[in-house]
Amino acid sequence: MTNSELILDVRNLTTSFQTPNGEVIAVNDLSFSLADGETLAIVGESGCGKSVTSFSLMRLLASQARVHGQALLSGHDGRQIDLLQLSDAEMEKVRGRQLGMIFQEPMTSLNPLNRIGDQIGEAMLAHGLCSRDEARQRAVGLLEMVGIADPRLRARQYPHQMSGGMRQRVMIAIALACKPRVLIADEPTTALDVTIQAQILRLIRRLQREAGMGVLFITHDMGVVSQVADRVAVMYGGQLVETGSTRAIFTQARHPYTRGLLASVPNPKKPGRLVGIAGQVETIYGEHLGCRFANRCALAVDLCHRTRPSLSEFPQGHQVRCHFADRTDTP
Amino acid sequence: MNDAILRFENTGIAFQTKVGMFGKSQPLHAVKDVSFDLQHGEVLGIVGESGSGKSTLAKLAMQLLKPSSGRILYRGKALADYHGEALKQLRGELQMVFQDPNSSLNPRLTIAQSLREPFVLHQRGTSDERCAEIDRLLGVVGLPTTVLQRYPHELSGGQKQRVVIARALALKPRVLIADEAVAALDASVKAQIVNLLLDLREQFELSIIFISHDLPMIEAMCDRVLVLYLGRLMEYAPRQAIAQGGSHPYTQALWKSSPSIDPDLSLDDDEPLSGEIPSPLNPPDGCVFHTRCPLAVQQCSQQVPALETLGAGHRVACLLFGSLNQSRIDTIK
Repeated sequence: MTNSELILDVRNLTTSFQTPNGEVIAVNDLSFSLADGETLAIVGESGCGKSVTSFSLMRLLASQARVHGQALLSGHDGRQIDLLQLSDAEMEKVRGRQLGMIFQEPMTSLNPLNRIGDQIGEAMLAHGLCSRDEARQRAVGLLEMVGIADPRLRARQYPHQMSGGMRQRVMIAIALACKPRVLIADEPTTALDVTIQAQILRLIRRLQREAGMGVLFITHDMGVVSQVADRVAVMYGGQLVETGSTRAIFTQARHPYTRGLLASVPNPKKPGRLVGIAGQVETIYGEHLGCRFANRCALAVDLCHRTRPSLSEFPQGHQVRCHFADRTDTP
Repeated sequence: MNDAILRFENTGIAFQTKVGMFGKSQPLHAVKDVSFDLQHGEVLGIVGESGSGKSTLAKLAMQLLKPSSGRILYRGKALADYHGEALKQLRGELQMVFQDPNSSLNPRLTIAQSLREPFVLHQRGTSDERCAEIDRLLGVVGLPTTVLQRYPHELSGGQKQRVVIARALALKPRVLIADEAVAALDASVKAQIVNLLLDLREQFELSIIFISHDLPMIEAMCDRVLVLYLGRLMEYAPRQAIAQGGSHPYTQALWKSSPSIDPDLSLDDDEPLSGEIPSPLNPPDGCVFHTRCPLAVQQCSQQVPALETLGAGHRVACLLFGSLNQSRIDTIK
């Protein structure tokens, strides 16, 4: 997979919520790892658990959420810490410092009453990295780094004076202010126009190369995945259904769900009618016995409804959760 | 071009806006001088960034807004000339599906009640006929009749959008305007709804205006495409021309910005369009796109480009195809 060092190693992450109708397992036994300088895309549709995964790692879920498993992060000092075992006070030292996060909605993520520069400096002050004056200076430098013209003026402005694309650039500046080891980007371009999305994706890529951090890129857009990711993890119904290198996922997808997702997106190389996936995701309470995708899967047989498939291994770290993963005859 | 069911002729709309508390009122041209026609049974795509005037065009066609210049013809007669019974008939024949099915359905009405509304408002059919028609519509959009007694919150996003489409079809429209109708849906559901729209076109000889910011999706489903920027028409082309990348620098830039699922293409291959769409209150002189155009020359900031015809049904508003000729493009490239 990679020679460089693992900076994030998530093992058997399980996040569940108690609801009046029973327990909902939003993330079910999810394991993945992220190396230094690598981009891993977590892709899936609404309700697949991709955002709950990022919120579990950032420990931003409400207290009724039950989170199990391990999430080992190699910190700046080289020590490994388990994010899920930290106390709230310890987690505050990690959040923003070791783990940065960009959210989908730049409109709601910024405080409308505070100046842009102060919001960027806040994390550096909270982590005691520098003085107030220095934080102000650095904020201007960060605005310049994320490609905002006239950074000195912009630092004194408020969020409403900026466009959506500029606010997302500000969010990136905030996330990177303390030079985190890992950046979690949760649908960072979904609310933006394609031309602005193209700019932001390139910006994240450039900053990642400069800082050498790992990026966990969460998205539902297969086009974005193919452009930004080194490796891909496809989730469905809270489970990892397929993972591998970006090339393997896009050219040799083995899981029927991954194939369905790819056939749902217009592909200039394959013109014609889109295929799509019949049916829809069902909410399931408690443990589910069979394959979560079975009710929408064209290949499903009786076995799929009774027994949950385990992950089968293929060359180069390609893993597939399907009883028929080794059947390569279907396109 | 006699087969046009809906035709925009030099249509424009300006809103009067005030900047600041004591500012002078100045016009904001949301759409300026746009001409195109929608043929019988075709799917016409309208694409552009936010603020390009896509939704304003849809609202003009639906008479939710009135043009301040030019006119819109439906079957050869200006929309403004429809009155009384003819206007009511017209409203049934032009229907629209919006982006967000949640805000299109009343949360306090069951699906059956929502689907009955068009028949009630237009006083069509007896109670039994309405029920039979609603059952038929559900079949058309692929929903089970069990949804009838449910409320919108009990359905998924894709199911709700199917209900909205069924309701839009209730009065047997001839033109369906889908304004970002699939933008809020998951990819696999998006493909289902797009296919449904294409089936409906066949089945009912519908003409469809499909508005989207997603150029690959537009290219996949539309016969002809209108590219808008800052309320101005940039390119009006058949699908084939768009599939080959388009001729206008803006169309080409939209393609370069659209993420493709081809893993052979990487982020580093293309330089994206820089900057952002300018304020419509203060549009650039000359060609409105010249501030971001990678091919712009000095003349672009002085002269408003006219629509040049490149081929059958293919028109482009760019000086590179007009007063600056083709050989000039080659030297610039």
